Amino acid sequence: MNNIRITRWMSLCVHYLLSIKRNPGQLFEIFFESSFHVLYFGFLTHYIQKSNLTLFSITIGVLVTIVFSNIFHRIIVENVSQFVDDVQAKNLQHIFIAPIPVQDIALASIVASYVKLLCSFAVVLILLAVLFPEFFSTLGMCSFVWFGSLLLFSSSISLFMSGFILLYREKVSYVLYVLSAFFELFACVVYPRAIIPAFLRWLSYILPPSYIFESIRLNITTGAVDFVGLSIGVISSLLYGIMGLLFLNWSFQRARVIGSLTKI
Amino acid sequence: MSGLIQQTSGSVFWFNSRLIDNRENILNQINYASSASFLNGYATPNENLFMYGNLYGVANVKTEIKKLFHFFELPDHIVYKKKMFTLSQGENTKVLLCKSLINKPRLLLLDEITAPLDISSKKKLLSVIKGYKKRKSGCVCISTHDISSILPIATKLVVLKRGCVAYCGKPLTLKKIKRLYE
Repeated sequence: MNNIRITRWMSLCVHYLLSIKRNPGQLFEIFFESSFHVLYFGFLTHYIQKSNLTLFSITIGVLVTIVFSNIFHRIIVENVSQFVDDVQAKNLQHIFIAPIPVQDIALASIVASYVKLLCSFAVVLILLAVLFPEFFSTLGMCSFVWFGSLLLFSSSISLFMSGFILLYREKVSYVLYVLSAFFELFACVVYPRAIIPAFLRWLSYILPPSYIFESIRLNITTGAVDFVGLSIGVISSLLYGIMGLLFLNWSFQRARVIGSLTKI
Repeated sequence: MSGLIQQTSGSVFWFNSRLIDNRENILNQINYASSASFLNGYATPNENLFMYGNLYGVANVKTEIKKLFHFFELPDHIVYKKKMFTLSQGENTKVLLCKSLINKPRLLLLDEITAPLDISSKKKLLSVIKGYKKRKSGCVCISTHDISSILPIATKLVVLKRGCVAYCGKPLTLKKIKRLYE
């Protein structure tokens, strides 16, 4: 009897382990999530220890950049989840058979994610007004540029993600975790670029949001406007947008060749 | 046939123009339904059809939707209140058929659509296909394992065996079709 119970436990164990093996999202959680947190908060700790700024400047900077970082998280997550919902429902093939270009489908999805972002921001702004009114004292005309360029960059990444969904279907949602963590670490959201070890710093240079967050931090702590950084951020976001559109077109053609459109 | 898969050679022509050159115009005259696909699960059948009606640029969408729901005997409490993912497979297939007819397509592609339908809905579908045949207004292309229900109204039969065309021509009797698989 006991042997049978052990066999049952073992088979259930194997069943749960198999689900880890076949689910990259769970693999990410096991191998990457804890390391990500250590790195993220480790870098933040270094920033607080090494910075000459007052604790108030540092913390208000962190608050503002975290609020702004919501833009690219919301847009990318909403856009991917909208597409993945359609893929899982096998509804996307009906949309692709309709007389509408693939770019229009992706753009409509991005606009829908803008609406969701506005809803999310409405709640965030109310919370900030009630609990952290000092947040609003940091905002100026530059905020529109920060907002706009982050919106542009996240829309560009959404175009890339839409392209990947056409090729790899719902499996892309697993990449979303990695992508979010990658941005958190290297887009310099809560700590400056100088804190990232030199051999990894190039990763932040290729991410347009890192220039925007550096500008935000500089503006909040010194009041100066980093025109060069902002320009690099906006122009590179625009470049990402153009590349995103090209990639989406390419992946649509590629998906037709490999036949993945019939499975969505 | 609808351009979802790239052809391995040659070109796809519909209505005297090449699909790749005139994609939007051609797709406006095509529609498709498959029992293996679904629509937006969080929306009602009416909301789904409204969206597709607008994608196909249908005039008087609401009236057209009502007509289709009425034709397939889908009651109001289902089409206006129930979300798609709560529908039975039969109801889901009927909604898909409504969607596939929303733009009065000249080419209607149906994939394994008869299996989940009840007898009355199957009759309705056959009457739609007969209508196409009578008016000579377009073409209905059906892929099915349920050959017996489609055979009486078919004008052309293509039998596939292990991915290859085993027969192409006038409809055969069931016995002859079975022989093709032996």
